[in-house]
Amino acid sequence: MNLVEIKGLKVSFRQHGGEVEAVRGIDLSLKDGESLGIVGESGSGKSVTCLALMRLLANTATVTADKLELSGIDVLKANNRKMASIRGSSAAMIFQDPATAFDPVFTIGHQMVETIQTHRGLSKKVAMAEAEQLLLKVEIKNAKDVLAYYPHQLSGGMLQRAMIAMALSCRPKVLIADEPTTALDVTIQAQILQLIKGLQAEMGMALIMITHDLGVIAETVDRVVVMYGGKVMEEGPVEQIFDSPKHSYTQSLLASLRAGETRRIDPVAPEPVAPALELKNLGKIYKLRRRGRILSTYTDFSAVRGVNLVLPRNKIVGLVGESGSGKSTTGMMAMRLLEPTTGRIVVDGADVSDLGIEALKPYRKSMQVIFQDSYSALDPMMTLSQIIAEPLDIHQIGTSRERLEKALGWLERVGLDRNFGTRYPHELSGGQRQRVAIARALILGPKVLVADEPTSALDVTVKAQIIGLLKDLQTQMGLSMLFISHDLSVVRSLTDTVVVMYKGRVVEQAPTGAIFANPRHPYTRALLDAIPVTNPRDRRIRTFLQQSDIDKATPHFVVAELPGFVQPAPEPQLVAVAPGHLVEAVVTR
Amino acid sequence: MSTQIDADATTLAAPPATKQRSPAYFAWRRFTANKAAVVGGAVLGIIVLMAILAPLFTKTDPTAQAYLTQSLAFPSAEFWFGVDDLGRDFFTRVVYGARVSLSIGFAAASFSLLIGIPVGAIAGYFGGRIDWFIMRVIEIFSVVPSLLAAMLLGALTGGGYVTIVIIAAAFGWFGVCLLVRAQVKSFREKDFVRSAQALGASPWYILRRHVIPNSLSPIIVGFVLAMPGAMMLEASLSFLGIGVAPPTPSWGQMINVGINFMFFYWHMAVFPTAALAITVLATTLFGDGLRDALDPTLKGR
Amino acid sequence: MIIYLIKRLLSIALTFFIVSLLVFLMMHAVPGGPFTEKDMPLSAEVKAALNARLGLDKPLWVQYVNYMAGVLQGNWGVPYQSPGETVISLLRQAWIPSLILGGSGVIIGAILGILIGMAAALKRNTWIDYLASALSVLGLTIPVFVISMMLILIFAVWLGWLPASGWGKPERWILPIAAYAAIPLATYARYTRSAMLDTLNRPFVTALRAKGLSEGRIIFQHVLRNSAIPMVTVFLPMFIGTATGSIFVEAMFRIPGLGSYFVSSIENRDYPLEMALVLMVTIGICFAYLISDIAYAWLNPRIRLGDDTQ
Repeated sequence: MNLVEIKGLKVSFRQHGGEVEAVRGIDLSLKDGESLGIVGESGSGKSVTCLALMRLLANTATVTADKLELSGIDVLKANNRKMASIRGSSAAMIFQDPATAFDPVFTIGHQMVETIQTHRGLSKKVAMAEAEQLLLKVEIKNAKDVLAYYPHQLSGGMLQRAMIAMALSCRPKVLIADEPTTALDVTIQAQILQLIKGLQAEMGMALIMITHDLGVIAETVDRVVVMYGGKVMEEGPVEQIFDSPKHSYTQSLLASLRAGETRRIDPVAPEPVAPALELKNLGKIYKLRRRGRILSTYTDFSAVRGVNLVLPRNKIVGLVGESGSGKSTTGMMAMRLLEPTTGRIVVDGADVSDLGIEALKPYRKSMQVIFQDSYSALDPMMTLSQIIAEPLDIHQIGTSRERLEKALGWLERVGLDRNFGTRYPHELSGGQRQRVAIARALILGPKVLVADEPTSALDVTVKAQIIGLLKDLQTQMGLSMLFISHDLSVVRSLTDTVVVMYKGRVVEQAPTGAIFANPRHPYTRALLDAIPVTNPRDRRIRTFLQQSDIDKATPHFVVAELPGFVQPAPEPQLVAVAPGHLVEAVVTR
Repeated sequence: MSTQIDADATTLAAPPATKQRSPAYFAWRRFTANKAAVVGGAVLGIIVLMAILAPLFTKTDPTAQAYLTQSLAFPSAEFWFGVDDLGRDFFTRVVYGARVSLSIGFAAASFSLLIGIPVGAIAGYFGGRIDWFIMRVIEIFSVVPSLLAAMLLGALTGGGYVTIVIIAAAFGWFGVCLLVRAQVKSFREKDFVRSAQALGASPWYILRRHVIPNSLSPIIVGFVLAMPGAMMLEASLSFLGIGVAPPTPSWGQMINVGINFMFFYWHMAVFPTAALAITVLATTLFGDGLRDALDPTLKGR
Repeated sequence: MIIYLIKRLLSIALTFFIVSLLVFLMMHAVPGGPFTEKDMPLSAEVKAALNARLGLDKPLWVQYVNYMAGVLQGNWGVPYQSPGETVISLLRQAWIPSLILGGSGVIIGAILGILIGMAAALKRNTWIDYLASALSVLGLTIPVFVISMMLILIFAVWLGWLPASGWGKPERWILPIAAYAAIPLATYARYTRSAMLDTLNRPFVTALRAKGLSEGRIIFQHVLRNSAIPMVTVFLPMFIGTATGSIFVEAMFRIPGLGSYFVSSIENRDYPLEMALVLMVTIGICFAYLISDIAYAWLNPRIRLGDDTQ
């Protein structure tokens, strides 16, 4: 008997008087101990399918199926008590954002104990001891303390571990993981995936891994179901899907995944003219307010410390790091959208660091920016043509007719139809909005473009298209681009040079090829290790560096080892280890 | 331009071919879907029309004691709402009462906007100490019960139309202020404002082209929702005899008189009570509907 | 937590001081004292003597300091309208009806409101929900005296079931309590509903269901506890509404409570009585503020643990 048996499942939602079909007749089955991946982009129905299996959909949903069984129980017919008893014990779930999946007003311990008690009727004391064991099992070292913590006191990665521990507490036959790593930092993502995979093998559970990321699939599962528009496009063993995808949608997914592997060939040409953008010793200090007993004290927090960065003409430089590394702050300072505490910004040979709003205005034409959230980047009250033409309005270029014509021209240039000009942003998809944002940023013909995570809010296939568009426009216009991202696979396909930031500092900088082939800084290595494989055959057990390990593992050099002259110092400094390859290291005599 | 990009635009990305629809169109659709708001708006519209056109369908001046011989007559075909204790046609008085109530609501709401918009914009845009100070002032205002303070002020100054408007505005501005502040604050964070800054737009340009058009809806909502508060304040003060001076017809005052007669001449109490309740209710429903329609993020609250 | 309490108490003391000062100045800023009324024609000497005896001839700030010093010692002054008594003795009896009627009105209204709000949230878009919405809109928009008037008209005048006004026999209490209950009921029905709906839509509720907890436990332990956080924040406006409403309820039902003294003190320009009543209301509101703050902090682990740094 199969653990999960789904036949002809259809789910639709009532919405504003209409019916929206989310799942349109899918078949799915899962055996004991098997691991299944469901992959698809947002709106493909992958999460809805699993929520229907657990009967957790809102009552605006209509669910019909020829067969919908979870460990032999008919989910459509079971009464509420029966359903409650199989949830958690037959199938447990973990969710995308652990910060919102815990009840904020109860401790972790309380929430774990109540789960254990509901299903296994243990005494509170025994349940608490069991909870502690489970936390240790998910590699939380201070398990006893964590039991007394409230959710807001833990980091996202720790919370997701606790969530997994809680899901395991009733020994479920199948663990359903709904995008379990999407809300986490890159380095944490890989650790969580490895943990899930290990626990699954150890406890002999079945696993359903729901994700939009084929890399996650390649890392974790044996069998794959590809969904699109509420239907199953393709199904098969993971190797077969990766080696010989039959359906064109799967092919395009794989193409976007592997786009990262084909590297640009960088013509190494000497650089006689001034670089397009130069950041010199750029730093940003925030005053943090700490509530004291009586008075508040202020401490300085350096978001960015002494960043030096050169963006050569007609090149793309990737700025990489996890959230909080200071990469976006650096980008915003480079655009003079945030005042730096120290340092100079030189655009095209001109120092713009101290210019006021008016004096800066002419330079603004040559420096532009694209943001991550395309929804907030477009004024909802303006039409697309107004949005795209706004830079021309601000700089008083051309007549209003010429401006409109130029805006419509750009609309076509970024791959949208001219008649979109009268539409409003809310009528567009995320990818389309990002296209409009690109058109608006480029209409003035800037020399420098800062792209702040422009693709991280987009679906995989759309992401590849936007990257392609940026690449094309960069070559056509001779743009110099600073591409800020946490996603190394994107950076690999797009950039000439990569700059890695960690805790506000540049820790490594090298040509893209060199950084992927020969990373020197431990943090860079941790980042590279965290990239999911693009082929299931490449799976491996990884070791992860804790943050303290990274700090300890800062490279050490003796002066004699390094080319050129370097002053020894107790503090880490950026040193050249190869032409164009800088790494932060402690240099001793 | 590669062909791959063109393909995307037409296949994966193309939205259904519909007519172009502005945000206003969607707001209107959301508004009309809310039946209570539509009814509220319609009733309010009728009341406003009646107040403006009052002389056209009432037979006497509201203060004229034309029917002294028929004092306290019950409602009839001739006197729809009966006659009051001083021989005045009660229907006429109730209709003219709408003028007082609505005009006070309107004036007070206008003054609330006049104070609330600049203060809210300053607090939201500059933040920091100015914001802190303004928020503390608002905190004190929100702790002081407005009606009590209004009663004190009303008693001390002897009431009157202008006083009521001033008091209502003094306690109505911070509602508008908070709405505008929240809006301006959220726009400071929005990327389209930063993107306009990156284009070299002046703060004034950003205010004019982005912040004000996007803040119109909370301003309209603030205006409509400030009205019922002011109308209730006027009625309450007039009820206590420290509001609008007697010959001028005011619903609160009529209710006050009506209590003394209610056991025998019920019409004296029922009609002004109903008129006030209906007007305030209609305005609130209309305002709530507007808010839900103009700000979809607040829906369902 | 203790630090937090001290901070709150200090800020409340400051509010109290500002309000008392403002009210004091406001009352004295207007020309004319209690003896300038037309119905009290007094000769200049008598007036001056009276003013001197009541301390009205001294500079304002001296009057304020004297007054506040007295207040702290329990001497709230002598009401002008009945010089034989002190403000405290006059108000001693007035407390009782206000407290009995107002207190039971608030308790009944709040309990009913919370129940109705919960029912509305759990049975969304059913007749229960619509009824709850209608009740809360009516209660929050229509002035208390209009509600009182409607109650009197329906139950006393037309149906003749209950007496319309007065104080004494418990059957006279029913209508005023109902009038008092209107604001808490409407407030809590509305906010309980919206707070519950908000909580029910949060992802952790799905996570709790996925763990296999029973629906009852999810609603009564998790959802209610989380919804209580926004619900305590409306305690203060509700309290203010009820306190102000008492004036109108007592005027309508002719109850000899604090509210009715407020009206008479305003009519008679009786500063000591007026001042005392305003101060009492202010103290009450400040404590309501404190209570709602404490409840908020206690329910919210972020604040209780003092982790909310920023």
